[in-house]
Amino acid sequence: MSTVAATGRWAFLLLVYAFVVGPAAIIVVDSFNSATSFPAPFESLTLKWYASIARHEEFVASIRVSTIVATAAASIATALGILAAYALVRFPVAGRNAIATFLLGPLLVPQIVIGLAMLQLIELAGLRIGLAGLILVHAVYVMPFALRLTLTGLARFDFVLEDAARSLGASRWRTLWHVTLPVIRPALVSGFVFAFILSFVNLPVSLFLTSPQTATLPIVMFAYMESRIDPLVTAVSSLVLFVAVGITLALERVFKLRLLG
Amino acid sequence: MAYLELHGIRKRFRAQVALAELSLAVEEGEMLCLLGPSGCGKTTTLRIIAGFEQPDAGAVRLAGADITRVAPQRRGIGVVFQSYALFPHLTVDQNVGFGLAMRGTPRGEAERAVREALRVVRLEGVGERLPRQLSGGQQQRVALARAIAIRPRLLLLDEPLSNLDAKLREEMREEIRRIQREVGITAVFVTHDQLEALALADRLAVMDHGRLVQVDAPVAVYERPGHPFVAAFFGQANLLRGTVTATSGETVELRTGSGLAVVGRAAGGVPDGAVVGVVKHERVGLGRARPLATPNAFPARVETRTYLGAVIQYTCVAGAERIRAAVANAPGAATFAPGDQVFLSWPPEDCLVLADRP
Repeated sequence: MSTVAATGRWAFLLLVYAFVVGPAAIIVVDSFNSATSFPAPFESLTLKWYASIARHEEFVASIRVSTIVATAAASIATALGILAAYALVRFPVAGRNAIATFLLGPLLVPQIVIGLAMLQLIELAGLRIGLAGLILVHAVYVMPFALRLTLTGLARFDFVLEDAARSLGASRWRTLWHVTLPVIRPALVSGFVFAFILSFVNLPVSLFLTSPQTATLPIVMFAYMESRIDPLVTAVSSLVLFVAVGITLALERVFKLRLLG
Repeated sequence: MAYLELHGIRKRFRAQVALAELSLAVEEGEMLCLLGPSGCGKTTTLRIIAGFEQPDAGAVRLAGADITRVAPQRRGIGVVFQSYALFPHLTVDQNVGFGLAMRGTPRGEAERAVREALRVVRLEGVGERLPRQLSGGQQQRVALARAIAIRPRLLLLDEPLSNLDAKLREEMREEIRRIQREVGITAVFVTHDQLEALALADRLAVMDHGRLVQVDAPVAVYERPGHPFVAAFFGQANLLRGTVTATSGETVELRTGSGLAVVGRAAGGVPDGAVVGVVKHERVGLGRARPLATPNAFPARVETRTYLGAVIQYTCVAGAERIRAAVANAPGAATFAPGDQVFLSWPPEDCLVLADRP
């Protein structure tokens, strides 16, 4: 009986993984396929698509742009998320539930609408959006995720630790820096990672806001696939996937977190 | 002027009065215990002394200086918390050294102070461990070491023993007393446990509903409660409510609502009107024959018998009063069973008569 149940559980797990990871696995397999079109039956093993990424300057440049944008946006979002979450949890602000809902608002607005709205705003203000503008828009978009995770971390934080630190001679700021933030660090790291990934892979928010100099990776991939479809994009996708999984595993190691379930 | 003084402290939380005009003085080197049921304001008092809460009115003075508006980090007061509040991300050494690091104490000096604090609490060789790798008793010692490492001007302890099991609690109780004497520090200790308070304190301050009810030495508070609440809170006492029918010097005769005529003694002025006769369980005698030497002898029926090891506790019914007696479990002592007819007795000096106040 129990073996039947165990087998059933395993089958279920496999199905879930096939559903979640399956499409990505196909992309990874195709990136090693020497066939010149995509999708195509597997011919032979090759690394030529990976090698050709280096010859496509627009991909190299866009990976660089995306890394900068995602790092900066996630940093800003995490910093603002910490301040907002701390104020919401620690101080009896009037209408704090309304404020929390408002701050989580960008989650509810379709991303393409955020992109369009920002374009409109910039036009009206007569500004030129550069890299800094793109970073700020991404920061607004990913802030709710960083805020959400910081709130979760603070909800489990024992604020008596702050009293202890104060009695030992730490000011409010030093208490935050030396006690509160280190204790909730797992939540902060998770928030940063989620914010980074969401910014890195985002297409709709950037769609109207990039110039050739600030084209992010998803924008370049989208543009490339409009003209042709060959396994080069699968190689780029796989590369991003490998790096993302690698970084996540490394963070789990260093910070002893569970990011991947 | 006392070392620590609270003057007319008032504090409310929304509509709830936490402290009403509380004034208290603690002498240098003394261990004062704030004792009372939960919600009596004892923890609020401690938090106001530490600076975590601001009083609505009144002043806190430490060593002659008004510290009412001084931030907690500038008070130099060590606090031991009920949950210990050890920093989970720091090792034992880093926890104990936290206060010194915040003060910018030079490294070598700080290391020596950390070693010394851990020696005083008798916890050595675990400096590299994290709090979660220690037992409850060890965590308690780290919390103490952390509080004394900053050489505080005052030590506050908030129910520090309530998270320990019974055996460890007794051991740590002795330890806290030893450490407080060894360091020679003034301390304020909060607890709801009467035995803990009696064992630890130089003086007890019994609190109820945001007020001090009685402040005195443990022996005085236990033997001569000044207020029915104190007598009831320490438990182990029968409270016989009634009115005064006759007085002669300090001797008072009172009649309970159910008609029991009890002779007792009033200390410091004979109250009139509603009174309470307080008779501790262990002072109530139990026998089959009517005792002749005392005016307080009442026929009663044994209702229940509870075996507690060192003592046997009987609940008896005399008229409409329910009176408890705790009889030492000595070899050869008479025992009684529920339903037995007995006589309850006690000498007048073991019945303290107090004015009945709410």
